[in-house]
Amino acid sequence: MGRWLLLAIVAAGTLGVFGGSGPLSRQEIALGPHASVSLPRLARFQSPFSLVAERREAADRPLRLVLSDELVRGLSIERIGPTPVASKWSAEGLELEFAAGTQRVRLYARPDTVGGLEGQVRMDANAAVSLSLWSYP
Amino acid sequence: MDAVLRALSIYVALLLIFRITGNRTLARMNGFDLVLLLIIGEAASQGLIGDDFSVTNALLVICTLICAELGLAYVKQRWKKAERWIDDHPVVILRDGKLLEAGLDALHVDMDDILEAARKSHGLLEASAIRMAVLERDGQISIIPRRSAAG
Repeated sequence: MGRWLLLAIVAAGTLGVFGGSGPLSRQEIALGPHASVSLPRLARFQSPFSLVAERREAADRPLRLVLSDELVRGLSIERIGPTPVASKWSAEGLELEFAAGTQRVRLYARPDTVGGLEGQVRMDANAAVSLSLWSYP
Repeated sequence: MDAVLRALSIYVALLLIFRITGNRTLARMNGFDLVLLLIIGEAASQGLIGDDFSVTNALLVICTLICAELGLAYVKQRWKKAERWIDDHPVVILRDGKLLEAGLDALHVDMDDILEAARKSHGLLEASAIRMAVLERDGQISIIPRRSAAG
């Protein structure tokens, strides 16, 4: 019985139930008709992960991404690629602006909290979308 | 998935490395060997956890290593050929006081090792007092004394 339990834990870990990589670990949320954000559904405390925001339409205008304050406070953002041309704090949260023609933005971060982490993300003129992830200890 | 794959790859790599170097490697440890073992452990732990220091990752790595060990035990129990390859098999290295030379170099054993084991286990001082010396699967040397020597 105990051996099967161990095996089940390892199988669940392989599928990504305990965070990290795996088919169950990530989620993709639509930010509008032509935009989406992909991030882990399940992460681990202080373990690196990536949040990918993508614009799927060709546009010459700059890409604007806004991360809500509660989301940014729960994360340690280590790196952003490509480098934003401008960034500022507003009432909405952290606003990042990227060069015209940018289609994909990748943020490398680590959860600073254990448990549920919620927040909102907005791209360009689209409405803000709520997202959440669970951070294991 | 990354934690499971890392643990499995380190487990298999260490299994292969220690199988290649032979069972005697760990059985006869001097001070430097102990330090080397600690360094190997440190390097392996870096590979096991990477830059993920969470409790969840550590527990997942531990569960994976234990599962790998249980799986290997099952394989050894089910297929004797695999058991012989993984654990090796006992080898008679000395009979009636005479070294059986074939393969001794590969086993990393010499007469001094046999006499040391004979002194420790039975207080024997000479090879002629040994009926048989066997290199066991765990790398230890078993000594079977002659009847007169055993008393």
